[in-house]
Amino acid sequence: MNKVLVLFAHPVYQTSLLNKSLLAGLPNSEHVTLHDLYETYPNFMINVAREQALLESHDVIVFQHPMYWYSCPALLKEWMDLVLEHGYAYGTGATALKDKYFISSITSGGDVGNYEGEKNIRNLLQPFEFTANLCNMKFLPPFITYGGLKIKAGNFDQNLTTDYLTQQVSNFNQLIEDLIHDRIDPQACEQYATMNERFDLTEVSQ
Amino acid sequence: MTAAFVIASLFLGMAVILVPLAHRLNLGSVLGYLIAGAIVGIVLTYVAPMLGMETTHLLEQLNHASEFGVVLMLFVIGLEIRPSHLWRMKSTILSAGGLQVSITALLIMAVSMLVFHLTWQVGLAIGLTLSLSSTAIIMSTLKEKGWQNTVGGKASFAALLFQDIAVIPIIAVIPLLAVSSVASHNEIAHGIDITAYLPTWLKPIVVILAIVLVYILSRYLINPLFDYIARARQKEIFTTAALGLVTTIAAFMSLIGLSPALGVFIAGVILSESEYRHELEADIEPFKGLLLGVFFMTVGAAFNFSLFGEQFMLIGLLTVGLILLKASVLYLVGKVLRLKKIEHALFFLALAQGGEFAFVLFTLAVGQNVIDPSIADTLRIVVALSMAITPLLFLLYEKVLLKKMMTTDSDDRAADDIDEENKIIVAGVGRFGQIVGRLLQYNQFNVTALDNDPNMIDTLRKYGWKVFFGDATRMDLLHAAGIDSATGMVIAMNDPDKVLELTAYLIKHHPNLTLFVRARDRTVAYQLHRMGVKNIYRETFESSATMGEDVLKHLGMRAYQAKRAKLRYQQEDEALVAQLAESFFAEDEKGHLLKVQQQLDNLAKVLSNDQHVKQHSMNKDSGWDESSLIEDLGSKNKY
Repeated sequence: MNKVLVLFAHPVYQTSLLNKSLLAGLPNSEHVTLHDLYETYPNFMINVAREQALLESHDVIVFQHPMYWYSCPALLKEWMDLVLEHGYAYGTGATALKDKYFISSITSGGDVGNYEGEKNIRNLLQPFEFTANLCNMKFLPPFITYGGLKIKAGNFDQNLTTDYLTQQVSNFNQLIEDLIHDRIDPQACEQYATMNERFDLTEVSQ
Repeated sequence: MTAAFVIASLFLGMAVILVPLAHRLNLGSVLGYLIAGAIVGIVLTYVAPMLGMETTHLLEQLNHASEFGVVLMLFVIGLEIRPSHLWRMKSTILSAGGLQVSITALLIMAVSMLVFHLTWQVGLAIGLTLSLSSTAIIMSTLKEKGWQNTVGGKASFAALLFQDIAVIPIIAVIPLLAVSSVASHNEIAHGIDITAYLPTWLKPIVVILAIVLVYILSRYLINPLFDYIARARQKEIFTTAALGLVTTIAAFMSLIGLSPALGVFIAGVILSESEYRHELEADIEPFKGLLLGVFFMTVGAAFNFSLFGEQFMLIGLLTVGLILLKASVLYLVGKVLRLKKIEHALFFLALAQGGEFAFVLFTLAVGQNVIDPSIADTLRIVVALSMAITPLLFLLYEKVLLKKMMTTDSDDRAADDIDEENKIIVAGVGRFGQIVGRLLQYNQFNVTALDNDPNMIDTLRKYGWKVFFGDATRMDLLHAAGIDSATGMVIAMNDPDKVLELTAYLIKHHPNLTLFVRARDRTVAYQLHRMGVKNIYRETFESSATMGEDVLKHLGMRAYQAKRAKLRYQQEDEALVAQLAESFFAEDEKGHLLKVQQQLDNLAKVLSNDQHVKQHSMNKDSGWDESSLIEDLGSKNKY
């Protein structure tokens, strides 16, 4: 059994339909810790010791955040800058995060179409991938939920069906359950650009 | 009638000239009245015969009238006592005051008996009378120098409080010390005594019943009565009722042969916990002040100046002796209270004089045939002289002892950073400036601090602060503190007037100094703004806004949203201060608006601004407003 830490960063969570839905769908388990960064550190005064202790007591680190200017919101970046210290997370003798799983769960107001070609999601998330690798973590492909703005506007089509969000929430729940029960093989995941493909394939195979 | 007008004008005119002068010289108003009285006394010896009067007779009559002032004073003392408040301070009051009064009284009694061969009764009366110090002089000096909240100031206050209360039993005891009951001038104090014909065993019962009656009257009858009067909204009837209450109780007490002062004191104590306390005090205060003033002037007028000439050496020795004796006793009491040396010095120098009560008690003692009038005459002059010397003692404390103790302290502790000038000077290290200083020290920036609380300075010095004692608005002190090499100055004194004064001075004479200024409220902020100060810190602005932020969170707002709401509100408000500062003074200069009206107007402007802001931004944070995005990206298939 793995313990999952969801590091959640959203400056205006109160208006985020996608994040509210996804977080509500998190398994209600003692193995899952939801850590709401903007609620804990509205002054950006991050308690580094406390954050490092949290990391150490978990096996899977999930970055849960919206895509802001092709990256994460500012407080999560601040968190990375301060908490992932040299000598602790990376560098000689730094083993605190070694072999822990790292996965991003990204929400976007835009469509899949906004993340094509050079702007594909894996390219954009390279800084996070490099970070995880530098910390000797096991990087897993990101899980993406699109269409926040269209869903709010009620503008659905064949690419964005009305049950899309429900499906995403259930997949996300499944993903976290799988992480808890160690049912995910990082090697096998290397074939996916995003973790969503894993579910698309299972759906197809069913 | 003409004579009365002439005499009244003489007394009042002299008082008007001399009392403010005495006050300016820190001599206290009592001494002013005494000197005014003495001058009137000399003038009267020439004027009174012209008006067809005898000076001594005239003074005696005036004295009787003004004794009502003493009664009123005791009523006001009673009002100020508040038993619940007193109870909390009981140990300090008892140890500071009890020891001081009893030891001083006994020592003076011993001196009277051994050196001057007086009887023990006379010795005790003199001892008790001289053990009291001058509340009026000490309290006003402590207040003026800002020392009333220092440890030494508080100990002095406790001792004075004890003395004020001790006056009551002393008044009760002095008549009992009369050796010859034959010639007691009883008519002065009471006149008619209806208990005179009662059997002796019944008298104590009558007295106890009377006190119980006063208690019941004050406790259960007066509040409803005042409620009734207050509802009529007739200010002068309230005053009349207050005075009437005092006269009624005084009359009642005289009738049964008790001291009227004692009766009104008890009534005052009982009423001190009533909601009418402040109103009563305010109503009685002018009468008390005026009549007491007349009382002290009659004492002054009765000064026997020929005596002063004859007994010059004796009076001088007695005065010095009295001060030395009182100071030594206070020194011992201070040791018992474990006062530190600076506080200790203040305590034993401040209280080392005779007090205004001495004049009251000497008059009583002479009237009751306890003390010979000639002794009382001499001692009155001694007390007056000792009071006149008090400001010199305060000066000795402030300019010599305090300075010496402060420099010897800093020599041991901070010898190394004496030459090193700090970049920041903090003026006023009370509850505000202290935090600024601590934050800087915490980050290894040494500060130079200025303050006028010796106790605070002592504590801060222990922890390595470089602290100068004194008023930060003094130029020489600013130079000693190194203002010429400082780059920034934190102005954080308590008194907004001092803050403005110092700020104005520094802007004019040290224009390159960066100022950080504490503003007590919005109005002060306006003034500072107008002076061109850039860094203004409104006292409660940060903490109250933070409290608001937390209440928003309590109401369910997200922490970060509440934080931004607070910051945005503060930004708006700061901008508003800048904008309103100008119009605030424009109106002020016209002189059309009263201060209070101005404040309300000001609040109205602030509130209307808030409404305006609310209308155009509602609850949104423009940084993450996505309404236009939804319109753009959400509905059309762009990009």
